This record gives sequence, structure tokens and C-alpha cells, in this order.
Amino acid sequence: MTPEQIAVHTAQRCACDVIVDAFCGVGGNAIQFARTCARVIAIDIDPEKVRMARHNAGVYGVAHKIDFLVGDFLALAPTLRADAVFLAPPWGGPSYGKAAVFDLRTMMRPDGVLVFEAARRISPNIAYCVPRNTDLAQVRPMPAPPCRGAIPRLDR
Amino acid sequence: MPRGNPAAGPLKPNADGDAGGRRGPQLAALPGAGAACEIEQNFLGQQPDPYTAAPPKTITAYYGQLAGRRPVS
Repeated sequence: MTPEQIAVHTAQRCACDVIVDAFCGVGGNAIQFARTCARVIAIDIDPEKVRMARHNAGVYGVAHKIDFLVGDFLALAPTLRADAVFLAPPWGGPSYGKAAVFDLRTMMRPDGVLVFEAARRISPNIAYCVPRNTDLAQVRPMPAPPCRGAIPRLDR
Repeated sequence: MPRGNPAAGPLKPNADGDAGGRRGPQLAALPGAGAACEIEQNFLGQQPDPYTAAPPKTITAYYGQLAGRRPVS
């Protein structure tokens, strides 16, 4: 789970109207997004995690700002519209840290590059939380497929 | 309920009326849109050790208009 101070920081950087938290887990990031964004679409494939995320959002008093969806982000992505997308997909358990270099394409399920491409079709504005041993050169040149979404006016 | 985050600035209506007029122009109309990228390594308040090169606690890559954006509290 994302440390709370990191989640707060990320949410402050991603302040916008509608944001998708594509792999919300128990809601640590979605809760902070609810404090900086007008609406949060929080998705997880595990109904138990979504149940816990909804509970946690209630504890923080922000459940009314979050739409929780149980489902596969890759399947749901074509139906979504948002101003920004936050990606913190599962890295495959604690063993991710044992590799000298983490490969987003081959070492996680779902494929980290496919996840990024799905997000790009929702919005070009993406925050992608990756393992700290990720090859940064792999993160930098992410492919940019044609985006059928629109550019929100995030700039101030 | 009021829409939008005042601190994030207003969203202007879309020329083609997409999504209730909330969205901006289509990506294809903006050359180079979405190409920006910023990689943020967060050490959770600790400076990276120059001798051991301790790894950061988290890495977040920001793309599009999120790249280079400052936090809005």
C-alpha cells in the first residue's frame, strides 16, 4: 500500500476534475484523490478490496466522491473518460525487489506497458507508480498510441 | 454539487460538445500533446546516500500535463 504521505503528494500533483484510480486496492490513493479532485473512479478486480476501499473512504469521509467499480481495468478502460489516470498496478508481490532491474513488460501481470497504453486511451495525463528498481529508460520512452480522448485543461 | 477543483482551474467546453462540453480539444489537434514525461523519485524526506546510493522509496512517472506540474494543496 502506498505510504500516506506519498499518496497525499501524488493527489496534490494530480488535482483535476475526474481521475481514474485504475488499481485502487484498499483505497489509499483514491481517498487522497477525493480530497483534490471533484470525482474519483476507483477500480479493482478484487471485490473484497473494493469493499475495504469503500469502508476506508467512509472512515475518511470521502466515500461520496468516489465511484467504486469492481472489474478489470483493461476491459473497462475503453468505456472510461477522465482528465487523468493514476496507475499503481500490482507488481507481482514482494519478490519484485529481488530483481536487479524490473521489467514492466515481462515481470508483472497485467503487462505494465499494456496498462499504460490502455490509460493513454483515456487521457494523456497519467501518473504511473512503478517499482523502485524499474529501468527508468523503460519508463521514459513509453509508446504514445493515438489517443481518442481529449486533453483536459489542467494547466493553470 | 459544484464540479471541478477551483485550485486546478476551470475546464473549458469542448468544441465538438463531447462529454457534456467539459473537455478540451481533441488530442490529434494538439501537436506533441502528451509527450511530456517527468520521473519523480521520492525518498520520503530522506536524501539519497551518495556512498551507498540507497534506492528511492517510490518512483512515479508523470505524463502529459501532469509532468512538471506543482502540487495543489
